[in-house]
Amino acid sequence: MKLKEAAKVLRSKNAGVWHITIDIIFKNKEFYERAKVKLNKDFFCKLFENDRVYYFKCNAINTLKVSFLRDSAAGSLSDTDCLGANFYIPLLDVEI
Amino acid sequence: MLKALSLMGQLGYGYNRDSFIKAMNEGVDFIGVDAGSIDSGPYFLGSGNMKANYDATRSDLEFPLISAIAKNIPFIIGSAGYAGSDEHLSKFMEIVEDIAKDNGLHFKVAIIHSELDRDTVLNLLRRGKIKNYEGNPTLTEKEINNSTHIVAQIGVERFIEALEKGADLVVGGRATDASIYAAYPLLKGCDPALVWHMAKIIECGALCAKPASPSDALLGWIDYDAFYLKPPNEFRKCTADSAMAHTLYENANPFVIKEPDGTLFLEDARYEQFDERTVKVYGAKWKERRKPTFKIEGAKHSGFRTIAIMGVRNPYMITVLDDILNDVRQQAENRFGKGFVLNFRQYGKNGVLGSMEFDSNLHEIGLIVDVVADERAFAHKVCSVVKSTLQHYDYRGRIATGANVAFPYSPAEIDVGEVYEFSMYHIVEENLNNYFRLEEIEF
Repeated sequence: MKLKEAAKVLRSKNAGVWHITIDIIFKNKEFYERAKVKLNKDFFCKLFENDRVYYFKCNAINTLKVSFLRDSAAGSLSDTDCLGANFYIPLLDVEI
Repeated sequence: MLKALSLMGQLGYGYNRDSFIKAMNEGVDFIGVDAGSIDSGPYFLGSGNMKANYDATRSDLEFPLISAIAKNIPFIIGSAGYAGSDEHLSKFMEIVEDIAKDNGLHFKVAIIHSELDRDTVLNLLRRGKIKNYEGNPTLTEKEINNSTHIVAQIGVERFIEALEKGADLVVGGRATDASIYAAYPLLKGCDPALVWHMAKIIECGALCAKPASPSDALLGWIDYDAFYLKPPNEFRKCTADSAMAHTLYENANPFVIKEPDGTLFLEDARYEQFDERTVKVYGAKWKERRKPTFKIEGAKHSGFRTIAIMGVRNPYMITVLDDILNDVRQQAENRFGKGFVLNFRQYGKNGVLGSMEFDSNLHEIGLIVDVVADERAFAHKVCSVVKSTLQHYDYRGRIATGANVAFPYSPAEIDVGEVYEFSMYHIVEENLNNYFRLEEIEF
């Protein structure tokens, strides 16, 4: 099963000027429990090539949340995504 | 029981008048609305321009303000004019003044200034009072000196003071979203943990409801042991899931929310369905900070931008485009030196994800030549030369000798204008409340 089929919300967004935060809200407990084995902190560190990833499990709402520093501030000359709203794209087809 | 009405998630994007009237008829103790953010990038703070223009802002503000004054309940606005600098506040106040004049309204306004001058910030830096925010680059004197506007996100203290002084309308500069909604309930003695948690959710209007919308209203009321959320619009409902999920939104940490005045801990928060459209929430903890800390935001002028948009459709040219672009960049540097920043944005290839892109399918590239330089004319000139070099570039194996690219527009060069970048987003570990001047005006 792909993550895009298991999640009812899969989004990224700026959290302030310097951070990206990704929310993965699963459709149910089963998918959440299955996914969080593979989608651990290491997985996100590797995917986003960032060794300082903040990783949270929100068990009450079957949600994983990940936050990390951007390479450059939102809206800087080299930025491609001022709202940080596309950082979830590499996650869509991840097999869980 | 104290009832708050969140007019909408952000002033200027069209509110729902029916929802507003319905909520007002039920009776509310105050109205709040957030009018700004840092989301849309550095331009607004840097330039002092509002994001929602005069007409858009006025049409969201006029009727609710008239209603609030008629019912004699406070109307509290934060991040007025979008980024909350003095320039934003004065542009926003022009609208307030026009509404007052055209409707013959009489009321008291408190304006809370949040702009800091460069000397103040330099002094704070030299005294070691400015800290990095979660690993971002250290602030330098150069960045402070280059900033056109610097604001602090003000906390709740000045909002409370404004209400104590009897303001009918509070126009806050850059403020934390929650402070807008926390001030009145705190002044009335409600439990701080309930107040801050509710304030943090309702600041986005009906974005925490189902279906979600930032352009619709939300009611929140605080009792002794819990608070309740309900959208006045019967088409929407608040559920335990929707309210809980909303606390994740735009926060780096889902369990800990830091405010200038303290920290909100959400691990033990409980969300229960109260009735079909109402959720009941309790259990968060609030720890007041002995000394408030503040987030400061700054933006600097980074020059002028000219862009040219063109399509690349030739399949062979697409395969060698990176080499072509490298050479064109080199030619531009040889000719003009280093006084410009040139970005090639290749939409269809990696324009969005950059080096993270993993999909190699492509048949067409939307190419943007993006040039930023100190002088407007120089940015235009570099963009123009780069564009024309690309148009005629004689890459190896080229058989189509007309033009290499498709221009949708004539002229191809588009002067975008002034460019700003964020210069600071840092934490000040000193009480800045004395800098946030409270200005009182009566209409």
